[in-house]
Amino acid sequence: MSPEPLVNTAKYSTPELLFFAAGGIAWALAYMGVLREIVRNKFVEIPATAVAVNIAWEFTWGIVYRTDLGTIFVWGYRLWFLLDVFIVWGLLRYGVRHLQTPKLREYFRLSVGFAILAFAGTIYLLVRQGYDTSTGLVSGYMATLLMSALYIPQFFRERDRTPYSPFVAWCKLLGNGLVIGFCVLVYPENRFLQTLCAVTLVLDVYYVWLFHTCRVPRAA
Amino acid sequence: MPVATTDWFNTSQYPVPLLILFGVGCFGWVVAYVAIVKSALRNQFLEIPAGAVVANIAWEFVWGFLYPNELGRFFSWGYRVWFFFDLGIVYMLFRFGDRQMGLPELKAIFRPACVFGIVAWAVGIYFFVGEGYDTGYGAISGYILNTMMSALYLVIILRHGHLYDFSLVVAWSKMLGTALLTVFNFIVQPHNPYLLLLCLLTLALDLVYIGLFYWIRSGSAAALVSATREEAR
Repeated sequence: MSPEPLVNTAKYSTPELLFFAAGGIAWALAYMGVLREIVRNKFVEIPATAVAVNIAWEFTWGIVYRTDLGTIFVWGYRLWFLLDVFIVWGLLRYGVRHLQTPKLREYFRLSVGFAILAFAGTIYLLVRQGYDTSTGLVSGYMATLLMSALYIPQFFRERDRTPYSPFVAWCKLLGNGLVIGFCVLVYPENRFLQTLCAVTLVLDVYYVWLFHTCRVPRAA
Repeated sequence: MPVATTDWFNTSQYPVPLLILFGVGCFGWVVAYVAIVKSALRNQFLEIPAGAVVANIAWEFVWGFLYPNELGRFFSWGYRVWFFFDLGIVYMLFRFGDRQMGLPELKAIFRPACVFGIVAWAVGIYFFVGEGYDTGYGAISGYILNTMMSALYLVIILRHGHLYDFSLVVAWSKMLGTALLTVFNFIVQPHNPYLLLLCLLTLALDLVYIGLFYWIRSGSAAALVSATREEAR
């Protein structure tokens, strides 16, 4: 058996790999932006459910399954996972700030733990059932769509929107946009995936527009 | 792609007791829909979460009209009956569904967001089935929606908190309807652990919802609900 290449140019063309790599870097930057806000302001801007589904996806695709894009990408997924571990830590530590109710705080960590396990189990089985691509993008865009949808009501609900980062908003849009470019090139026949991509893109563009038009503190 | 059958009941592939089990499970959902409509007319408040309504009507449209049902034509008509019931629920969603939203900013985008949601879900489910990801009677896409709905029900009852706007009949009939369909799936799809996990998650969330309902009704959760309501404002 031949060793796994650093980048799988036998299956994917260079432009395809560049699209994915650039998108992946943009996502890593978005995660770093989120971490910076966690450290600076003790604020986790990613909605809790989205954090749970993200870490579950990265665990499943970074540790349990292996992308066929090449070794560099395998480690890229793991880097996402590692960054997300810190985001989950931030969520468990400071995420209760989103819930201003002491009573609900008692159940917050338990709910996050349950959600991570539930998402990890479903993603693991979805892949095992053969419903995913060899790069994990069907489950990945299901998770991303959920995140993009949840960002909007959470942004509206927040009284103080100043900790939300424009850097993260743009990196998220750019990261998704570039990986969508990869999907269009590599999976043109997978209409379900294309639909997930299109809806995610619409939501991300709307969020960026919303961000720049409404980023003023809501009246208490 | 689901295989079209000209039979009213596909007894060559599914034994009669199983088809009855499926039919009774579906009937549980009809009871839930009727109770939702009655409760909405009485209270001018739609208890079923908006995110679930838009996904449901899309699923029923796709599976009622665009794809054949492997279980038989009778069940396609059953899905269409659901769809027409759900049209009433969608009407109420547009009429006073925005009361589910606490913030004026969210109320302002509520109706366009619902239209976008219905279209996006319909296209997504249509291609999900077209890619061959679903079973011949829509169980996987159906349970993805069901899990989401059951999770959203927990959020909405905590946020809204006025128990008289929620129906115990809905809580029980949706749990029992889904549970019977879950049993059906365990018998018919034993080699699809993804679907079975979705079934179990939905059941767990439905049971938590019923427990929460009784907990709130007993008065033990009064502080939790009033505090959550304050937060949602």
